[in-house]
Amino acid sequence: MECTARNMEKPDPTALTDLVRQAQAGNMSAQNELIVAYQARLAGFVYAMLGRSAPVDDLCQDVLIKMLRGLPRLLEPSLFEPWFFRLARNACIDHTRRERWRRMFVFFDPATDDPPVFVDTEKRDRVEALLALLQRLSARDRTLLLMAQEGLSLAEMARATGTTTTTIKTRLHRARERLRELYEKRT
Amino acid sequence: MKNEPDLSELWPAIREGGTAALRPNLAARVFARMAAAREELTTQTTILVGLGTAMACLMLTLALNLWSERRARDEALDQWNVLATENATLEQESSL
Repeated sequence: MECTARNMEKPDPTALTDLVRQAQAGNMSAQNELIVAYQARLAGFVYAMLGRSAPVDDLCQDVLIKMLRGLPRLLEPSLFEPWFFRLARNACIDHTRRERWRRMFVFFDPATDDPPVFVDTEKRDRVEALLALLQRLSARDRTLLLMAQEGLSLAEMARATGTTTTTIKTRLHRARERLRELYEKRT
Repeated sequence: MKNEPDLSELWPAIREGGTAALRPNLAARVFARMAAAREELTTQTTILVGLGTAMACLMLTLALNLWSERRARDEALDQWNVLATENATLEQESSL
Protein backbone atom coordinates (compact mmCIF):
# COMPACT_ATOMS: atom_id res chain seq x y z
CA MET A 1 0.00 0.00 0.00
CA GLU A 2 1.56 3.23 -1.11
CA CYS A 3 1.33 6.50 0.67
CA THR A 4 0.28 9.16 -1.75
CA ALA A 5 0.25 12.89 -1.23
CA ARG A 6 -3.51 12.75 -1.64
CA ASN A 7 -4.11 10.61 1.36
CA MET A 8 -1.38 11.93 3.65
CA GLU A 9 -2.42 15.55 3.94
CA LYS A 10 -5.36 17.07 5.78
CA PRO A 11 -8.17 17.64 3.26
CA ASP A 12 -9.57 21.11 2.55
CA PRO A 13 -12.37 21.71 5.13
CA THR A 14 -15.00 22.83 2.61
CA ALA A 15 -14.31 19.95 0.25
CA LEU A 16 -14.34 17.56 3.19
CA THR A 17 -17.72 18.80 4.42
CA ASP A 18 -19.18 18.30 0.93
CA LEU A 19 -17.68 14.85 0.69
CA VAL A 20 -19.04 13.86 4.10
CA ARG A 21 -22.51 15.11 3.16
CA GLN A 22 -22.46 13.05 -0.01
CA ALA A 23 -21.25 10.00 1.91
CA GLN A 24 -24.02 10.54 4.46
CA ALA A 25 -26.52 10.58 1.60
CA GLY A 26 -25.35 7.09 0.67
CA ASN A 27 -23.14 7.98 -2.28
CA MET A 28 -20.81 4.95 -2.49
CA SER A 29 -18.25 6.80 -4.55
CA ALA A 30 -18.06 9.53 -1.88
CA GLN A 31 -17.75 6.90 0.85
CA ASN A 32 -14.94 5.25 -1.08
CA GLU A 33 -13.20 8.58 -1.52
CA LEU A 34 -13.52 9.28 2.19
CA ILE A 35 -11.89 5.95 3.02
CA VAL A 36 -9.04 6.56 0.58
CA ALA A 37 -8.55 10.10 1.93
CA TYR A 38 -8.19 8.91 5.52
CA GLN A 39 -6.73 5.42 5.35
CA ALA A 40 -3.08 6.47 5.59
CA ARG A 41 -3.68 8.87 8.46
CA LEU A 42 -5.80 6.29 10.24
CA ALA A 43 -3.18 3.57 9.76
CA GLY A 44 -0.43 5.83 11.13
CA PHE A 45 -2.56 6.77 14.12
CA VAL A 46 -3.44 3.14 14.92
CA TYR A 47 0.16 2.01 14.43
CA ALA A 48 1.40 4.65 16.86
CA MET A 49 -1.40 3.99 19.39
CA LEU A 50 -0.76 0.24 19.50
CA GLY A 51 2.98 0.23 18.83
CA ARG A 52 2.59 -2.81 16.60
CA SER A 53 1.88 -3.34 12.92
CA ALA A 54 0.09 -6.71 13.08
CA PRO A 55 -3.34 -5.45 14.22
CA VAL A 56 -3.31 -2.27 12.07
CA ASP A 57 -5.21 -3.61 9.07
CA ASP A 58 -8.02 -5.30 11.04
CA LEU A 59 -8.46 -2.35 13.34
CA CYS A 60 -8.52 0.11 10.44
CA GLN A 61 -11.28 -1.97 8.86
CA ASP A 62 -13.24 -1.90 12.12
CA VAL A 63 -12.89 1.88 12.43
CA LEU A 64 -13.89 2.50 8.82
CA ILE A 65 -16.94 0.27 9.17
CA LYS A 66 -17.98 2.14 12.33
CA MET A 67 -17.41 5.39 10.46
CA LEU A 68 -19.67 4.39 7.57
CA ARG A 69 -22.36 3.08 9.90
CA GLY A 70 -22.18 6.14 12.16
CA LEU A 71 -22.11 8.75 9.39
CA PRO A 72 -25.91 9.20 9.26
CA ARG A 73 -25.84 10.15 12.96
CA LEU A 74 -23.12 12.80 12.49
CA LEU A 75 -25.15 16.01 12.74
CA GLU A 76 -22.37 18.40 11.77
CA PRO A 77 -20.30 17.21 8.80
CA SER A 78 -17.75 19.95 9.52
CA LEU A 79 -16.85 18.07 12.71
CA PHE A 80 -16.06 14.88 10.85
CA GLU A 81 -12.36 14.79 11.70
CA PRO A 82 -12.56 14.97 15.52
CA TRP A 83 -15.42 12.47 15.42
CA PHE A 84 -13.42 10.12 13.20
CA PHE A 85 -10.32 10.19 15.37
CA ARG A 86 -12.49 9.68 18.42
CA LEU A 87 -13.74 6.44 16.82
CA ALA A 88 -10.14 5.46 16.11
CA ARG A 89 -9.03 6.23 19.66
CA ASN A 90 -11.88 4.22 21.19
CA ALA A 91 -11.21 1.27 18.88
CA CYS A 92 -7.53 1.23 19.91
CA ILE A 93 -8.37 1.40 23.61
CA ASP A 94 -10.95 -1.41 23.24
CA HIS A 95 -8.42 -3.51 21.35
CA THR A 96 -5.79 -3.04 24.07
CA ARG A 97 -8.32 -4.00 26.74
CA ARG A 98 -9.37 -7.15 24.84
CA GLU A 99 -5.72 -8.14 24.32
CA ARG A 100 -5.07 -7.79 28.03
CA TRP A 101 -7.99 -10.09 28.84
CA ARG A 102 -6.99 -12.55 26.16
CA ARG A 103 -3.42 -12.76 27.46
CA MET A 104 -4.77 -13.53 30.95
CA PHE A 105 -6.55 -16.62 29.69
CA VAL A 106 -4.22 -17.83 26.98
CA PHE A 107 -1.11 -18.90 28.82
CA PHE A 108 0.91 -20.36 26.03
CA ASP A 109 0.29 -17.80 23.37
CA PRO A 110 3.11 -17.86 20.83
CA ALA A 111 4.47 -14.40 20.13
CA THR A 112 2.97 -12.93 16.99
CA ASP A 113 5.67 -11.52 14.78
CA ASP A 114 4.83 -8.15 13.40
CA PRO A 115 5.36 -8.02 9.66
CA PRO A 116 8.36 -5.80 8.80
CA VAL A 117 7.22 -2.40 7.59
CA PHE A 118 10.56 -0.60 7.02
CA VAL A 119 13.35 -1.37 4.64
CA ASP A 120 15.66 1.27 6.09
CA THR A 121 16.95 -0.23 9.35
CA GLU A 122 18.02 3.07 10.85
CA LYS A 123 14.58 4.54 10.30
CA ARG A 124 13.02 1.36 11.67
CA ASP A 125 15.11 1.52 14.84
CA ARG A 126 14.26 5.16 15.47
CA VAL A 127 10.56 4.64 14.86
CA GLU A 128 10.43 1.52 17.04
CA ALA A 129 12.27 3.32 19.83
CA LEU A 130 9.78 6.19 19.69
CA LEU A 131 6.81 3.83 19.55
CA ALA A 132 8.14 1.99 22.61
CA LEU A 133 8.32 5.30 24.50
CA LEU A 134 4.80 6.18 23.42
CA GLN A 135 3.55 2.85 24.75
CA ARG A 136 4.82 3.81 28.18
CA LEU A 137 2.53 6.82 28.23
CA SER A 138 -1.11 6.52 29.25
CA ALA A 139 -3.61 6.02 26.43
CA ARG A 140 -4.92 9.52 27.09
CA ASP A 141 -1.51 11.17 26.70
CA ARG A 142 -0.70 9.09 23.65
CA THR A 143 -4.01 10.02 22.03
CA LEU A 144 -3.40 13.73 22.50
CA LEU A 145 0.14 13.63 21.14
CA LEU A 146 -0.96 11.66 18.10
CA MET A 147 -4.01 13.81 17.41
CA ALA A 148 -1.75 16.88 17.57
CA GLN A 149 0.53 15.22 15.01
CA GLU A 150 -2.48 14.58 12.82
CA GLY A 151 -3.10 18.31 12.70
CA LEU A 152 -6.19 18.46 14.90
CA SER A 153 -6.64 21.83 16.55
CA LEU A 154 -7.05 22.16 20.32
CA ALA A 155 -10.78 22.72 19.80
CA GLU A 156 -11.03 19.59 17.67
CA MET A 157 -9.10 17.55 20.22
CA ALA A 158 -11.38 18.86 22.95
CA ARG A 159 -14.40 17.76 20.94
CA ALA A 160 -12.85 14.36 20.20
CA THR A 161 -12.12 13.69 23.87
CA GLY A 162 -15.18 15.36 25.40
CA THR A 163 -13.29 18.04 27.35
CA THR A 164 -12.46 21.74 27.08
CA THR A 165 -9.74 23.50 25.13
CA THR A 166 -8.05 24.62 28.34
CA THR A 167 -7.92 21.07 29.66
CA ILE A 168 -6.50 19.81 26.38
CA LYS A 169 -3.81 22.48 26.37
CA THR A 170 -2.70 21.48 29.88
CA ARG A 171 -2.85 17.76 29.19
CA LEU A 172 -0.98 18.09 25.92
CA HIS A 173 1.77 20.06 27.59
CA ARG A 174 2.04 17.44 30.33
CA ALA A 175 2.05 14.61 27.80
CA ARG A 176 4.98 16.22 25.98
CA GLU A 177 6.79 16.66 29.30
CA ARG A 178 6.28 13.01 30.19
CA LEU A 179 7.54 11.88 26.80
CA ARG A 180 10.61 14.01 27.23
CA GLU A 181 11.21 12.59 30.72
CA LEU A 182 10.90 9.04 29.42
CA TYR A 183 13.35 9.83 26.64
CA GLU A 184 15.85 11.33 29.09
CA LYS A 185 15.62 8.32 31.40
CA ARG A 186 16.22 6.01 28.45
CA THR A 187 19.36 7.93 27.38
CA MET B 1 22.15 16.23 21.18
CA LYS B 2 18.38 16.62 21.36
CA ASN B 3 16.83 16.28 24.78
CA GLU B 4 13.46 15.11 23.51
CA PRO B 5 12.27 12.72 20.84
CA ASP B 6 11.15 14.54 17.73
CA LEU B 7 7.69 13.16 17.11
CA SER B 8 7.11 15.62 14.28
CA GLU B 9 10.28 14.56 12.50
CA LEU B 10 9.44 10.88 12.74
CA TRP B 11 5.70 11.22 12.13
CA PRO B 12 5.90 10.74 8.35
CA ALA B 13 7.89 7.55 8.95
CA ILE B 14 5.31 6.34 11.47
CA ARG B 15 2.53 6.98 8.95
CA GLU B 16 4.55 5.14 6.35
CA GLY B 17 4.89 2.19 8.72
CA GLY B 18 1.18 2.14 9.46
CA THR B 19 0.31 2.34 5.78
CA ALA B 20 2.76 -0.44 4.94
CA ALA B 21 0.89 -2.65 7.40
CA LEU B 22 -2.34 -2.26 5.41
CA ARG B 23 -3.22 -4.98 2.95
CA PRO B 24 -4.32 -3.89 -0.56
CA ASN B 25 -7.83 -2.70 -1.41
CA LEU B 26 -8.87 -1.61 2.06
CA ALA B 27 -12.00 0.18 0.84
CA ALA B 28 -13.22 -2.87 -1.08
CA ARG B 29 -12.64 -5.09 1.92
CA VAL B 30 -14.52 -2.68 4.16
CA PHE B 31 -17.55 -2.68 1.86
CA ALA B 32 -17.41 -6.48 1.54
CA ARG B 33 -17.34 -6.87 5.31
CA MET B 34 -20.30 -4.53 5.71
CA ALA B 35 -22.30 -6.57 3.22
CA ALA B 36 -21.39 -9.80 5.02
CA ALA B 37 -22.19 -8.27 8.39
CA ARG B 38 -25.75 -7.52 7.28
CA GLU B 39 -26.31 -11.25 6.70
CA GLU B 40 -24.64 -12.05 9.99
CA LEU B 41 -27.02 -9.67 11.74
CA THR B 42 -29.98 -11.64 10.37
CA THR B 43 -28.53 -14.91 11.69
CA GLN B 44 -27.86 -13.33 15.06
CA THR B 45 -31.36 -11.90 15.20
CA THR B 46 -32.82 -15.30 14.35
CA ILE B 47 -30.83 -16.97 17.11
CA LEU B 48 -31.85 -14.31 19.61
CA VAL B 49 -35.52 -14.57 18.69
CA GLY B 50 -35.33 -18.37 18.98
CA LEU B 51 -33.69 -18.22 22.38
CA GLY B 52 -36.17 -15.61 23.53
CA THR B 53 -39.10 -17.77 22.46
CA ALA B 54 -37.62 -20.82 24.21
CA MET B 55 -37.16 -18.81 27.42
CA ALA B 56 -40.72 -17.49 27.21
CA CYS B 57 -42.08 -21.06 26.79
CA LEU B 58 -40.03 -22.25 29.74
CA MET B 59 -41.29 -19.42 31.95
CA LEU B 60 -44.88 -20.10 30.90
CA THR B 61 -44.52 -23.81 31.68
CA LEU B 62 -43.06 -23.05 35.09
CA ALA B 63 -45.83 -20.53 35.83
CA LEU B 64 -48.53 -23.03 34.79
CA ASN B 65 -46.93 -25.75 36.94
CA LEU B 66 -46.84 -23.44 39.92
CA TRP B 67 -50.45 -22.39 39.44
CA SER B 68 -51.55 -26.02 39.06
CA GLU B 69 -49.72 -27.09 42.23
CA ARG B 70 -51.15 -24.17 44.19
CA ARG B 71 -54.65 -24.98 43.01
CA ALA B 72 -54.27 -28.64 44.01
CA ARG B 73 -52.91 -27.58 47.41
CA ASP B 74 -55.77 -25.12 48.00
CA GLU B 75 -58.35 -27.76 47.03
CA ALA B 76 -56.76 -30.29 49.39
CA LEU B 77 -56.74 -27.67 52.15
CA ASP B 78 -60.41 -26.88 51.58
CA GLN B 79 -61.30 -30.60 51.73
CA TRP B 80 -59.28 -31.00 54.90
CA ASN B 81 -61.10 -28.04 56.49
CA VAL B 82 -64.48 -29.50 55.53
CA LEU B 83 -63.53 -32.90 57.00
CA ALA B 84 -62.17 -31.28 60.15
CA THR B 85 -65.40 -29.32 60.62
CA GLU B 86 -67.51 -32.45 60.08
CA ASN B 87 -65.33 -34.37 62.50
CA ALA B 88 -65.66 -31.69 65.16
CA THR B 89 -69.45 -31.66 64.70
CA LEU B 90 -69.63 -35.47 65.03
CA GLU B 91 -67.53 -35.39 68.21
CA GLN B 92 -69.78 -32.72 69.70
CA GLU B 93 -72.90 -34.76 68.87
CA SER B 94 -71.41 -37.99 70.32
CA SER B 95 -70.39 -36.22 73.55
CA LEU B 96 -73.96 -34.96 73.96
